[in-house]
Amino acid sequence: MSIDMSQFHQVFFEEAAEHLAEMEALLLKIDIQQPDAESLNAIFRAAHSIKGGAGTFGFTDLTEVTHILENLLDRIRKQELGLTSEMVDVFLQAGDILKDLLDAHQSGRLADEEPARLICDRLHALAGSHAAVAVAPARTDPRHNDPAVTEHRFQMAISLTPELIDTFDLKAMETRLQGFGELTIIADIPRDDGGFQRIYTFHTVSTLEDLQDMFGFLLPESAYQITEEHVPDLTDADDGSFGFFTDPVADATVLEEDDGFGLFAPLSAEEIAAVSDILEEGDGFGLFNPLPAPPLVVEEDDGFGLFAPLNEGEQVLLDSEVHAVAQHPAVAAVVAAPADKPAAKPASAPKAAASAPATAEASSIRVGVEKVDQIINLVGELVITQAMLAQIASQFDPVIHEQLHNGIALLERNTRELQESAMSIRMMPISFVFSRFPRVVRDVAAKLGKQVDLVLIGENTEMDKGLIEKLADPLTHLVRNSLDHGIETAEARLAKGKPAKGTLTLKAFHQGGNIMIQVADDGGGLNRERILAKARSNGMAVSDSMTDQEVWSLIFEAGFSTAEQVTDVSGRGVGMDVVRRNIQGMGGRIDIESVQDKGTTMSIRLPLTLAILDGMSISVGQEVYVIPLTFIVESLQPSLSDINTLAGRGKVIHVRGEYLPLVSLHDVFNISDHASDYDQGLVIILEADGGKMALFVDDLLGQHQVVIKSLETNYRKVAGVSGATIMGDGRVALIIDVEALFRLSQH
Amino acid sequence: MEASTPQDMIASSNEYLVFTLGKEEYGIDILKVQEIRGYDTVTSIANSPEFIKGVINLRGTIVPIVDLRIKFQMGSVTYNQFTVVIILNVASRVVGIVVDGVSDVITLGAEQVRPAPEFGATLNTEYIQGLGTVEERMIILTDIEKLMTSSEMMLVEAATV
Repeated sequence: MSIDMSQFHQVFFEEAAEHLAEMEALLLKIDIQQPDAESLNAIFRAAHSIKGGAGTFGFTDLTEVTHILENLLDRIRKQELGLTSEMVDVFLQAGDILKDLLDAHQSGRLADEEPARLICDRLHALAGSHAAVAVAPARTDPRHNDPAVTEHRFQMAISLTPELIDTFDLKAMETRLQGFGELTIIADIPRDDGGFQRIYTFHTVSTLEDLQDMFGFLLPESAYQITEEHVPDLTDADDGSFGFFTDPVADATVLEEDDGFGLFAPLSAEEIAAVSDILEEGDGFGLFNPLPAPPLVVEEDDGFGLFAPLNEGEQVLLDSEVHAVAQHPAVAAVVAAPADKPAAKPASAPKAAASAPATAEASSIRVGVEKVDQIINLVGELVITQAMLAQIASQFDPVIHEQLHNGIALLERNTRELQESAMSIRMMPISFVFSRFPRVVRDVAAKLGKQVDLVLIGENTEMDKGLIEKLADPLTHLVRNSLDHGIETAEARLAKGKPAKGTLTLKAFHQGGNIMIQVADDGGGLNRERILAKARSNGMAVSDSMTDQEVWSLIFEAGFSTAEQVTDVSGRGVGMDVVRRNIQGMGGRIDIESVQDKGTTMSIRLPLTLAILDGMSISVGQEVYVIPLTFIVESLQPSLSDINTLAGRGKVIHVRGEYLPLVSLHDVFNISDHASDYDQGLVIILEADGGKMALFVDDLLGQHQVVIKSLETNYRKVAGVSGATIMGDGRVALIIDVEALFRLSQH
Repeated sequence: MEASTPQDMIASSNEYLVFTLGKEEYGIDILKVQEIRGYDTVTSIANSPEFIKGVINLRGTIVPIVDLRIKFQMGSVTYNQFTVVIILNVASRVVGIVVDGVSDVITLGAEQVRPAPEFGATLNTEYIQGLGTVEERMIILTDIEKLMTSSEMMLVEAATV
C-alpha cells in the first residue's frame, strides 16, 4: 500500500506547489476592505486541496497547518470573521512554511516542526483575536484585550495515560496556550492507571471550537475535556455573528474535525465524510439563513472542475457533492433562486474562468538546457539546408515540377514554424522574475513601516531563461535597496509634499538591441554630499568636481553604504558591488539616474544574447539588413516631388501632411551600388522615442523572426548596428539600431 | 593581458602552423588555431577599416574576418576557391584571418629559435616572438594573440584590453 502511494507523491508535491503559488498570488491581490468572495473561495479551496492530499499521503504536519488555515479561511469566507491585513501576512507566512514542509517531504528530509508549530499558534491566535476584531478592529495581542469585549473562561482537564506522558509534550502545549491566554494550573489528580489528570483554568479570547480544534490534533478525544465556565453575555463578538446558535456551530466544528481525520482513512470513508460535510454545511446554515449556502456549494462544484487533473478522490468528492445537492431539496431549491450575497456577484464568475487557463499553463516539464540548445542548433542547420534546397528547386521549371515546388513551399513553412517554436523554448517573459516582487515589496515595506505601490511594466518582454534566472538576485537587491533607502517614510514624504504612498516601478523593455530593466522609485534620491563624504572616509580618491554620474557609480564600490544605520533589509555595504558584478557577468551594465527628492532610477542594460526579434529584411546594393519590426510604421514608394531639401543639406519627405527627416541607409553605411534615385527604391517610416523619420532603402525583402546574435562577442560594437543575425541562407545580416539612426538624423 | 616572454611561449608549445604572406613565412602557435577553411561570402561592416572584410556565420557564431594581406600590404588580394581563412581562438574570441596559403605544421626546438633583430619589419617586432629556422627557411614566429587583440587591428573595444 505504501509503495502504491509513493508513486503519487510526486504528483501531490507538484499540485500542492501549484496550489500554494495560486494561494499566494490570490492573497497578494486581495482587497482587504472588500475581499472578493470568489478569491476567498479559491484560497480556501487551495488550502483544502493541500489538506486533502496531505491527509491521504499521511503528511500530518502539512495537514495540521492547512487544517487550521482552512478553518480560519472558511470562517472568513462565511463572513464570520473580517479579513485584516495581519491575517493576510500570517496566511502568506503559513504558505511559506507549507512550502518548506513540502520541500522537506519531497527531498525526504525530516521537516523542522518548530516553524509549523509557531504558525499554528499564530493562526489560532488570529482565529481567537479576530473573533473580537469583528467588533473592535485593530486588535493584535489577545492578552491585552479589553475584557469587556470577549473573554472566555474555560475549565480544561487533560488526562494523561502513562503512554501519553511519554509521547505528549505537556510542557510545550502549556507554553503554547500561554501564548494566547492566561493559563492557570489548578490541580494534578493521579489516575488509577499510573497517569494523571491536570486541571486548568484558561482565560482567553479563543473560542471553544478553537481549543477543541487544537486539542483534537494533539490528543485523542478521550484525553481532554473542555468546558466553558461562563459566557459573559450574548453580544459577545463570536455569538454576535452566530446569533444564539452557539451549540450547533460547536457541533459542526466537531464534525469538520472528523472530516479532517477521515482523510487519513481509505477512500470510502472520505466519500462518507464528504457527504456528511456537505450535509453539515447545509444544516448549519439552514438554521438561520439558507442563502449563503447555495453559492458556496455551486462554487465548490465549479472549483473542482477548474483544477485540470482530477484525481480519483476529487472525482468522488465532486460526485458526492452533486449528489448531496440534488438530495437536499432545501438547498437545491435555492440554487436556482437569485442570491443577494456578495458571493454571487456576477463579476466573480468570469474571473474564475480567467484564472483557470493560468493553472493549466503552469504544467511543464523540466528539460536540460543542453538538450534545448542542441535542438536550436539542429534547427538552425535545418533552416540552412532548406534554404539551399529551395534555391536548387528554383532552377527547375515550375510548370513541369509543380509538385516539387509545392513540397519545397511546405517544407519552408514547416521549417519556419519549427524554428520559431524551437527558439521560443528558451525565451520566457520577464514576469517570471517580476512576479516575485509584489510579495517582496509587500513584506519589506511592511517591515519598514512604509507605504509602497509596486508598478510592473513590460512583464511580457521576453528574454533568455538563463538571463532571467541570473537576474533575480540582483533585481531583488535593487528593489530592497530602493525600498529601504530610496522611498521615505510616509511622514517624510508628506513633509516634502509628496503622496504618503511611494511608488516603485519595475519596467522592462527592448532598447537598441538591449533589454533594459529599470527599478525606479520616487523617493529621496541619492545624496551627493553624503556619498562623497563616505567615499573620502573610506579612503577613495574623489573630488568635488566629479560628475553626478561618477559620484553615483561610487555606490557600487565594495563596502560602500551611506545608510545611517544598518537594517536587516539592507545597508551592510555588501550587495551593490555584487549587483554590479552579477550584471557585468551577464555582459550587462548598470546605470543610475537620481534627482534629489524626486527619486532614483537604476537601469540594467543587458545584451540580447539570444533574443528573438521580429524583423523586416531590406536590401541596399548587395547588402541585407534587418530592421526591428516594432519601429516600422509603414513603407511607401516615394515620388520625387515629395522630397525636398532643408537648408540645402538635410532632406525631408512629405508624408500625409507631415515633413519627416529623410535618411538614406546607403549614406549611413557607405554603400556605393545603391538605387540610383529616390523613385527607384522605397522609404520606410520609422518611429522611436515619440519621433518619426524616413529611411530610404533599395528594397524590402520580407519579414522574419530572427535570432539576435551579438557582434561584440568576437568583434566590437558597430555604430548604427545593434547586432547581427543569421539569415535562412546562412549569411550574416546586420540588425539596424534604429535609435542610433535617430540620433544620426538629428545631428 | 598577461605579458609572456618568448621563452615562456616556446616552452609551453613548440608546434607552429606556418602560413605565407607574400614571400614571407609566419608561424603561429598551433593551439591558437581552431580550424582552416575556405573563403566564403562575408557580410561587410560599414565604416570599418578596409582590412576588416566583415563577418561570417561559423556554425551559428558571428566571426569577424581580417585580411592580413591588406593589413600588411603583402600578397595579391584576390578571393577565389584557393583563398584560405585561418580561424583563430585568441583571448576567448573567435577571429578569422585571410592569408595567402597554409604550408605545414612544424615543431621547433628551443635551439632553432633566434631572437628577432630590432628591425623595421612590416610587422612590429613587438608581436614577433623570434625567428625559427627549418631547412634554410626562416619562419617568423608571431604572437598572434597579442597581434589580434592589439589596438591597431581594431578588433576589440579599446577599453576592454
